[in-house]
Amino acid sequence: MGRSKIYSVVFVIIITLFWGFVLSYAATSLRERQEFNEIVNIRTNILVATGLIDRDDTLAPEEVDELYNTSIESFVVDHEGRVLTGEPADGVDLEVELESPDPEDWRLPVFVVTKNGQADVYAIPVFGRGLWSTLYGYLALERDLSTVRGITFYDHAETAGLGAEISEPWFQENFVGKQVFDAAGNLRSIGVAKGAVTDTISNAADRDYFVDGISGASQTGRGVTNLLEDKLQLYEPYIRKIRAEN
Amino acid sequence: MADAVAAVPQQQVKEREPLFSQKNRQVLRDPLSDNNPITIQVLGICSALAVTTQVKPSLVMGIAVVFVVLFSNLIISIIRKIIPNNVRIIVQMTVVASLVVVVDQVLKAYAFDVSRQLSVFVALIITNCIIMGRLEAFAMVNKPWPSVLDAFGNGFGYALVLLVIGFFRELLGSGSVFGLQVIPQGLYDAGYVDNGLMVLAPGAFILMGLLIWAQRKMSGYAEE
Repeated sequence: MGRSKIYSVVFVIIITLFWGFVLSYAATSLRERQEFNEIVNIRTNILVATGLIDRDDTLAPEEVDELYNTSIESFVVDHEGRVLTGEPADGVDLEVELESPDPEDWRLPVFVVTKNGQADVYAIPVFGRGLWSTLYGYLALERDLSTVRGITFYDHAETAGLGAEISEPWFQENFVGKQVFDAAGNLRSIGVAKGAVTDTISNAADRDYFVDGISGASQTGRGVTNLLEDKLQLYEPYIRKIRAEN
Repeated sequence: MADAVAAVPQQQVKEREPLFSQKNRQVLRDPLSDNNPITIQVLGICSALAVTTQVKPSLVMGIAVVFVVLFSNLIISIIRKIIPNNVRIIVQMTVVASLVVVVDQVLKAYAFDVSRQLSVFVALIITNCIIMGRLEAFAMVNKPWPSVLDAFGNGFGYALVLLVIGFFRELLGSGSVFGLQVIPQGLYDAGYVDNGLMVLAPGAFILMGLLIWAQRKMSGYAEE
């Protein structure tokens, strides 16, 4: 092939431009649908955490959207637990909020399911470092704001088969019914035990504050312990306020 | 003008061999069994191990690879005579990478759950040796139609192995097929437990080894 170098260069440029156009077209024409999927994925997780839908339910994206809109009320609170009226939580990303050095700027999203005119379940976003990645999820608390209704982890990149078990139903169902406040009203949060709770936590009274750990995933477990404590502390002023009102 | 356009294919038809000639059938059939990219050539192993915990991601991954190998083979074969030889690998890479990004975007839009399960392995189709191998070994030196057959053969050969492994891993590891529970609850009550090993990488290795053994036994293939 006795072709000149210029031919090669021109050929590559044409190929690159052609595929550049194809890819930009694909990316822009599908973006709306992809963003909708991301939102639906997050909403599905809020609905699962609050127990409105079952983990195994397969709902169409539109149904999830519909259910979310009709049953979940969302708002934001500040770092001292005051509800900021007129500010919807939709589109508020807690991770982005916390990047601001001034706690006054933080807007903390809260998701509430109301039943017979009363708040029934509260859900808050939780996230933090695991072993390899940041774990993202939602923690839902019962009306008493201490008993766990459910938890989900919807995004992480932990080791498959080990840390990735946090996405599994058995691990998440582990949390249901546990307490984040002790009888005296102090924030205890929930720890991930090293092994089964019944084997590793000798004091039976403490077992309400621990869940079974994943063998081979101590670091991911520690990450879950830390992120729950961290985010619960963040919301503590608001939670205390509501607990005092009840 | 119209006559000229019509005349050209007619002329070609005379010289062209039948669409499914003996040779073309072989091009399509060989990679399905006797020259399977996974079990005989041992290519594309990484993704075959990673995505086969269940049937559904295996199927989607198979379709994605068929799509990419099909269109990249076709496109490269069409332009094979005008690709400058010194940049041919770069051109092949560009075509493959672009097709993979398109697949990835489409999956994110229309098969969100599966695309999350497959995670990086869709993007890693770019590095799948099967695809670059077919482009370099076949599409660069063959006409478009045989290249399409070759792509189908290799793509389905790959997808077939994924489906077989995915089927057994899901059945033995989770007691289900395609997400549907097939092992009755009664059996679990009687003390049956799913084999957790099948969900992990070692289970995939063991199944893959068995499959390669069975395949080579049947086809009589032996490493030199």
